[in-house]
Amino acid sequence: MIEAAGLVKTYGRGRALDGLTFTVGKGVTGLLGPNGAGKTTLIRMLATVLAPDEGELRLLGRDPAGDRLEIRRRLGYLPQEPGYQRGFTVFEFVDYVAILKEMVERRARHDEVRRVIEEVGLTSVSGKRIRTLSGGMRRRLGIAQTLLGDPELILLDEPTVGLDPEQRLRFRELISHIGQDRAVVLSTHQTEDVAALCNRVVVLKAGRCVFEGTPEEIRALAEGRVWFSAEKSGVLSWRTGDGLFRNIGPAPEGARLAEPTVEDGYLLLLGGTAAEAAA
Amino acid sequence: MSTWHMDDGLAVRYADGELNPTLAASVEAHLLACDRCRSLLAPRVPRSRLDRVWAEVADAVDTPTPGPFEQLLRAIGVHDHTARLLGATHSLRLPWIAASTVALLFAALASGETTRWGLLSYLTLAPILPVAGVAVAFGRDGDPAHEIGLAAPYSMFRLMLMRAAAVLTSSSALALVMGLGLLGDDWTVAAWLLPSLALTSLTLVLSSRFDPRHCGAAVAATWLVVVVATNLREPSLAMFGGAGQAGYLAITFVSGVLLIARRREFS
Amino acid sequence: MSEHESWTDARLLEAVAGGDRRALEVLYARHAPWLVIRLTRRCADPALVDEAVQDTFVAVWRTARTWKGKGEVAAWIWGIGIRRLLDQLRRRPAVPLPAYEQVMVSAEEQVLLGIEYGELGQAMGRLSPELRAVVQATVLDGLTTREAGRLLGIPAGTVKTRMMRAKALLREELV
Repeated sequence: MIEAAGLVKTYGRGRALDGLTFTVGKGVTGLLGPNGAGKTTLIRMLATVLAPDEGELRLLGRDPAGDRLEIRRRLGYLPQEPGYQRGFTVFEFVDYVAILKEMVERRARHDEVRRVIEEVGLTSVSGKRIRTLSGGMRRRLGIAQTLLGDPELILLDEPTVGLDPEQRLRFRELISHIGQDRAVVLSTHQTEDVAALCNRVVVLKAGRCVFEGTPEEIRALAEGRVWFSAEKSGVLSWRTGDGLFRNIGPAPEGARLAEPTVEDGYLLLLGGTAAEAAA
Repeated sequence: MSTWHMDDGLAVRYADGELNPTLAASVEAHLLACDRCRSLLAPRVPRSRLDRVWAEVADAVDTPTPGPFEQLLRAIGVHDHTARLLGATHSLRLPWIAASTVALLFAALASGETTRWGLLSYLTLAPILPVAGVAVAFGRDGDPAHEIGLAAPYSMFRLMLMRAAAVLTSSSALALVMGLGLLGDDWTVAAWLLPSLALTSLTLVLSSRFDPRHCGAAVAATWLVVVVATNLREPSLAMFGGAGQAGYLAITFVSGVLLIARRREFS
Repeated sequence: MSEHESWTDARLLEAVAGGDRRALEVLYARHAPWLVIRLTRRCADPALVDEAVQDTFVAVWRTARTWKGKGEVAAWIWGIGIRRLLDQLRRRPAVPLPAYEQVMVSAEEQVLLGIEYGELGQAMGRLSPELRAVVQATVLDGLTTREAGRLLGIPAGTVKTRMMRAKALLREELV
């Protein structure tokens, strides 16, 4: 679905992407990285909104520089801060995006709009104005418009930010559902999202890909390197609720080995070099 | 609720119109109050027929009610989807148009009072309206769904031009009607037309590089400064004379060419 | 998502008044079938019936707010439905009521089961088809004299006189 090699994007002096290489196939792929790692730049590039300064990018088997339209027809995109015409109803907004997606024939378009609204469970409120919707519902609305035309590739930029735990749960349900038979790429800085719904992860750090694999493989990175102890030690270390320190890195004295999580692996990756040296 | 209910046989005969009127009447009276017997009738109407009618209901219920401007566009033969895209534009909605009308009205009234200065204020204001309208018609702030639109196959360049044209047309029509109505039919009341075109196309070209709002503000401010500078001593309509008009035409032309050359910047 | 299905009609209608599209869908699933069948007994043209049913539910969506919350939702829907059918009939110049007459006239069998209406039913059975149609349109369908006249294709005055005769006959039967 996506093949990227050596992507570079420069803004002024800073490099948002610095030779990024990775691939994405079917299923849900998480782009994991701290703020400023280049996630949004990358998602916008995958959405054909930005062009790379250097490097090779193929989307859905095509070259975005030449076949941009063809790619856009098979793509759904939810930006990080999508704007909504707040006076529009849910139906009107999705209908508006459907027109932008070249759905010209009125009746067929309306049927498709109804279908995607149904799919995200917003049928009840489809006649309501967007300004009256809750945050969770707006996020669903954002997802609904990505489903128009049944695209093969769906890009979601930080779709879980600002959702409360219950909304987050329902949202995961929805995303894993839509990721069943297509490629979904979502960016996040939350390892819980990745552990819960991604079958692949690409970890970004300062515009580079530092890891590509499954969530389980990330977790395994921290196997044998997470310890509980009474003293602070290791590269990364914090006190847990029961008073013990959870340390990532080499074993402190008298420490007890702990079961690692995806987050431990991710922290190791981010603190990579330092952790490596310490080990 | 009574203890009597229809059985399947009765439901079939009623649905097929085979009951005598009296019995049918009883059934009908009962149906109004009995959910269970109503549901017996559900299988008697073909699913496809119910679905077909429902599709019509759903569409009638969902279809957005177009605003006045959208209706006008449809009336003059614009496709309904295009009318929708245009109708969603801030500066083509009623509040904006109303605000423009009021602004023009004041300027026109002022010109009626004090001859040359007044006419000058009218000619100065008229070209600013489309610039402002265009500046808020697209771009990150003007169109909330802008970013989604960028990744959609619809050409943003085309959308922008359509919106600019619609804004320009509506504000020009407004200014023309107002001018002719309140200021008489001297040619000078239309002297803002080319400046309008020039300033608007300039705003568009600049928007290929910068935020449209900033562009609009900069163009409008420059226009005001130039008008004031040429009128410091006494009111003069020099800027709207023959040479001036030729200049606006040239600006429009150059902007048009640049716009086409830079069209990829918009999508 | 499916919780709507367990709601009562009244609750659904309230939700519809608040703009709940799903509630309208459930209401339609419950009430469209019998409405189609009952309207078909008043008008034989399925296209007209479909139009009337469609208009009915659009009207339910738009006017749900005006429902007083009393009585059967089904009766309220019927009141809208029969009037939408009349609107459809008015739009077509041809007088289209063969179905109504046919149903009335073909009812020769006079098999009366003692349900709901009991004696009244029997008494109605003995009325002439013309009188019965008037009783049905006004009493059962809840139409005004004028509306009944339009449905039956007769002047309102005739509806009135027939209704008076029918009442007199029924009174005799039932004493």
